[in-house]
Amino acid sequence: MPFRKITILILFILILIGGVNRLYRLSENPPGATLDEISIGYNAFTIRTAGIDQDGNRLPLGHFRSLADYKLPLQIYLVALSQMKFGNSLLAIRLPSAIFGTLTIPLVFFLSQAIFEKLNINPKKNQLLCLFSTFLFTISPWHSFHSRLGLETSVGLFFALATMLFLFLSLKKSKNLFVAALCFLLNTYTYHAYWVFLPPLIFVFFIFHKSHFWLHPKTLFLAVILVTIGLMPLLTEKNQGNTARFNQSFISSEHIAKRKQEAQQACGTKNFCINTNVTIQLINHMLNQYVSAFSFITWYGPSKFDPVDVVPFRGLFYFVELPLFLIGIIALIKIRSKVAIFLLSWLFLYPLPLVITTNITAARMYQLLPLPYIIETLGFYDIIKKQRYLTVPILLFLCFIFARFVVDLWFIYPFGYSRQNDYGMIAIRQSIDKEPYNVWYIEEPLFHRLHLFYFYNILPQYVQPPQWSTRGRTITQYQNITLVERGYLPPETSHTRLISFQEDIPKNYKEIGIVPLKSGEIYAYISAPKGRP
Amino acid sequence: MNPFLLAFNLIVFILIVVISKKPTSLNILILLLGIVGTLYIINPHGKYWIENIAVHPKDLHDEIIQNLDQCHKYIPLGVCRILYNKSIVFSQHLILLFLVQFSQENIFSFLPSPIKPLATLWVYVGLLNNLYKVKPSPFTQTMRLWGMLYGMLGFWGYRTDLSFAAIGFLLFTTTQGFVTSIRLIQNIKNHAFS
Repeated sequence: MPFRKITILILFILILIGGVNRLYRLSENPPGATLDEISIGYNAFTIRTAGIDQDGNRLPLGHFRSLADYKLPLQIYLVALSQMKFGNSLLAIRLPSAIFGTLTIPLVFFLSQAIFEKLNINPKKNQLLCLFSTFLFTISPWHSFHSRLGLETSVGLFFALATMLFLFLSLKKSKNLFVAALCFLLNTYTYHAYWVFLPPLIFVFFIFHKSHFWLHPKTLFLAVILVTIGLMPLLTEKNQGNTARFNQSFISSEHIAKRKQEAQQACGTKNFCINTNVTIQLINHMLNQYVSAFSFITWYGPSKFDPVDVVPFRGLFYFVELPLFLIGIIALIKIRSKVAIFLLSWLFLYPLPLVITTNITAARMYQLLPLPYIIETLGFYDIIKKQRYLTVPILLFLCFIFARFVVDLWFIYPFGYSRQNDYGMIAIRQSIDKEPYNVWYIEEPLFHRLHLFYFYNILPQYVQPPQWSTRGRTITQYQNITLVERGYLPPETSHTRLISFQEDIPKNYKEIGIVPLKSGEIYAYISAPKGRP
Repeated sequence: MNPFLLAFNLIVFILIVVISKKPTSLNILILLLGIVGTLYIINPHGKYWIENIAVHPKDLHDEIIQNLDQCHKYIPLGVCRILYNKSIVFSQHLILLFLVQFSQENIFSFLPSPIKPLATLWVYVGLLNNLYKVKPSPFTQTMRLWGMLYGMLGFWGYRTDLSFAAIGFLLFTTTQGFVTSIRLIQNIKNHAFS
């Protein structure tokens, strides 16, 4: 069915609203910059200027060591492109994520359309329902916030959804399978969580449509060949990034041993304690992680995530969505078609990255999107079929809740949570830039070396190694800025300035200023030698 | 295991079965007051819970005032007052307290950890199964009502051991969830390999 003009207009308005919410004051909100963001930015900078990563490897196609968490390369190359226009700034790091986040909005529309068509929903209503699920996705507090972070999750989601969309389209035109394969490859090079989630989901899709794909064996074979060749750089990686990432994130024997020890302590002097068995601990951990992924509190409640991950005191979704979701799930179970089971499989498979890792983060749950919105749309459809008069109140209430989220996100969050976002490091840089003629000594816990390297354009070959002296240890030095360990005693000159914790100010120094956070708290103290003008 | 709470579960079950045949708001209110009152009397911690852990509207009030102040720096006060409407914020808080009762941390807090997550998952399936039925049987209606009351225990405050007060409901719902999940797996198998 061709698009109606009003559908195109509303979709355009939604993209505009979503775009503004994801792009407005991007470099100022979130207020600081997390180390993950800065690490991506720094590797992008070294790639752009010298063609090497932070360790001197030339144009890696596999993992970047980064903060020893071995990041995948696509996001870093995208940031390098963005830096060509915006230089070494926070905006350059966050822009690719925000742009792909905005582009995901129309993608959700088309994916919903493909799904609703398969669910045999009245074609007249189909476009309206697609707009509703796109609307829910546009106002999503989780996606809006995550798109603003310069991390790989939003780009990964874009390619994962593109893979699914083109898989659905390949049922109409088999050549779309190549585009799906390409999107799958790009997704593989973006974020590790999708390595565990997307292949099983694609497998479920193939099982449900095996009769279709057996009719096009040549296309299927070529797509598999394309994916295999595309994965070669990762499979043949020399620096063992895959293994390192596995060891770093996945459930470790230490983690299980720690749990076992805790269980033994809880067990006390009892003779028989099933809890202390390692295999049971492992299964228990995996089950706990799996169930946590469906916790009402994780989804709708006051967030238990780090404020860097989601806007504090919020869940991943608005609480008003819960009735729509429950009605939607019931509607989905009633449909009993292959697509309905595919959607349920998506829901049941999404916690896989959590199950095999040690902790729960909102980023590792990101592959859930936009499934709840598609299910909620089915719930909404079920309601308005019987009670049409509820359409406007539901929409108005959602708009109201969204307006409050916007105010929270733009005006309350940046001030209340500047500490959690490492805003202090940005504030230190601002203090230094105000008085560039001074000689600055900064205690490293207050200012990470990657901030220094990134914002002052220092390539790896110019990084000063740590040096010991009777005054303490300097960690690295660049022009008039030296990072030092806590307790370091800087040489006393009239231009010496020390940025430190209050308790670390030396006796012969006096406090001359502070580094404030946006919340009004004090992040660090600036001191200078006594008796020097 | 508290024998009083077990007996209490049985009484609540019988009362709910009676009331589910005529679920008027007055009957439900009487039942709810009865539950809270009985728990207060039979449980030595009851008084402590009510006085120290239950929802404090004052905390919410302070949070609203703080947000209003920050919002007012950029947006007209009238708009801020609509956005941070007290009754909406308070209702939101109550809904969250209701949901907290069904969270993984609260539900089955009395079970040992290897069984807990699986049982929790079955409760979720069981709850969904209860909601799913368009023409509910008296048993389903009973379970719905009991579930609602269990959730309302959350208004009382964040307290994990409250789930024991509804052990009957949880066990029934787990069994339902277990049966439903087996049926669901069979259904998926039939669709996938047909």
